[in-house]
Amino acid sequence: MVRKYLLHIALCVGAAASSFGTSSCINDPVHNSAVNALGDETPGYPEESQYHRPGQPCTTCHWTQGPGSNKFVLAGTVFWGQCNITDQEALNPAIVKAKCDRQPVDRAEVRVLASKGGAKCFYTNCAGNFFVREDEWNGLTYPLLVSVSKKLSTGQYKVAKMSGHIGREPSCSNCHDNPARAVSPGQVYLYEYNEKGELALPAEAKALKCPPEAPNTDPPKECDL
Amino acid sequence: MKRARIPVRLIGTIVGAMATFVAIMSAIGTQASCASSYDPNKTTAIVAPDYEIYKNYLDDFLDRRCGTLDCHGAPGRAYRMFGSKGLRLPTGTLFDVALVSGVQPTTEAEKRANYEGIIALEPEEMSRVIARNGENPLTLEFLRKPLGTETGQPAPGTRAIGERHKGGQVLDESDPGYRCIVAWLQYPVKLLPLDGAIPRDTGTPDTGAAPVDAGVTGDGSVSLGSPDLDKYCTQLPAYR
Repeated sequence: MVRKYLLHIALCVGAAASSFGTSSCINDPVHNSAVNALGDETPGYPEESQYHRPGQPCTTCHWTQGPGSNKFVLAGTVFWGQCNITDQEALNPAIVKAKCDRQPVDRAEVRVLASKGGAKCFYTNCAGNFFVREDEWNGLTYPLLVSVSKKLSTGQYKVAKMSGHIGREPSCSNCHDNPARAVSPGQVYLYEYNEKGELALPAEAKALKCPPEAPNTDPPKECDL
Repeated sequence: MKRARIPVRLIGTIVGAMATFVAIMSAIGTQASCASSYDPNKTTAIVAPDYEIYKNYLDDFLDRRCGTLDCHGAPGRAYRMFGSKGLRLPTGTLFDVALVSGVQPTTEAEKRANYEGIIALEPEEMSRVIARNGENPLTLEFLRKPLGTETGQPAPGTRAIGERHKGGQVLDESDPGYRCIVAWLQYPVKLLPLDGAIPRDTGTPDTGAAPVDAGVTGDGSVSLGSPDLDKYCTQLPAYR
């Protein structure tokens, strides 16, 4: 009789442990909600590729819990211009997207100086995206100092430096999202609006077609410091 | 078939444990029901450190060191900082675009909010530290945390005096910023309310030391009121 009770108890404990274990592995509601909040893929960029979802927080998926297959220790998107929209426009996600997310910079150079682990430079691709996989920078330790530059057709460089440092956030857009407001300086950009309210972008500042519409030139991932 | 017998002693132990549990729960219930009701006029008296020194020297340093948007410039932090390059103080406008991160300089209201934020972390402990003229300031979590590492273990070749800090060690004891904070806590203060935010209790104990006002010293230089304040806090504007 006692043996029978012990068997029941063991089965109950086992079932409970199994159900707790399972739920903690695949059912993190906070993570699931963050992934779902990203919504559908951005039109015009090949899905599930290095060119997808420019301007979105990469490490929501490309982190320990997935579902992205690679874990990034730093990733983001560089745009040509500052996003400048009114309060009223900010209420309409379509306007925010149209005015702020359409001009990624191809082959911008993202220079990163780590508190430990040295310094490295990474190129953005045609979607403006850059990313550093975990195994691509061993010993990378936050905080980081970051600058972004782009060699223009005139031969000159346009440089934008972060005024502060990155404490520990691996996704640029978790802080740099649109519109600029009390909790965000806006997307990462090279050119800002001048005092007249104009955004004087160079001629080459236009959205490029990314693969598969345009041939993938496959630029080198890392640049010179 | 022989039936297994449960020992009488075991039953006694189980019944005893259950009785103890019921007694404890009932005691907790009694305590709760006897707790005093909410009194909206009740205040907590505090002895606060000097605001002017904080505003003029420490706020900018702490904002640069701690207040990035991904650290203490995040709205959900217990120690939450507002500043020009990080989180801005809500202004009540749509999307809070009146103050934009990275645009306008830090406002007086933001500095005041940061100052009150430090005190509000541990108001009673802050009062004790100030009341004893800043002696043993490491009783404040505000100082233990930035001295601690991410794992809580000391870095090789160092000793551990801090508390585990997710952002890693951002200060050490020789850092002018740390020395300025300690000197600030040692600075004798006048007992003033926080602009009505936390009303002063007239029964607040005095710190026992006369406030020292900043002024011109004998050699003509301007003193903040203590050698350590002069030595360390004045370095901070050019120090990261």
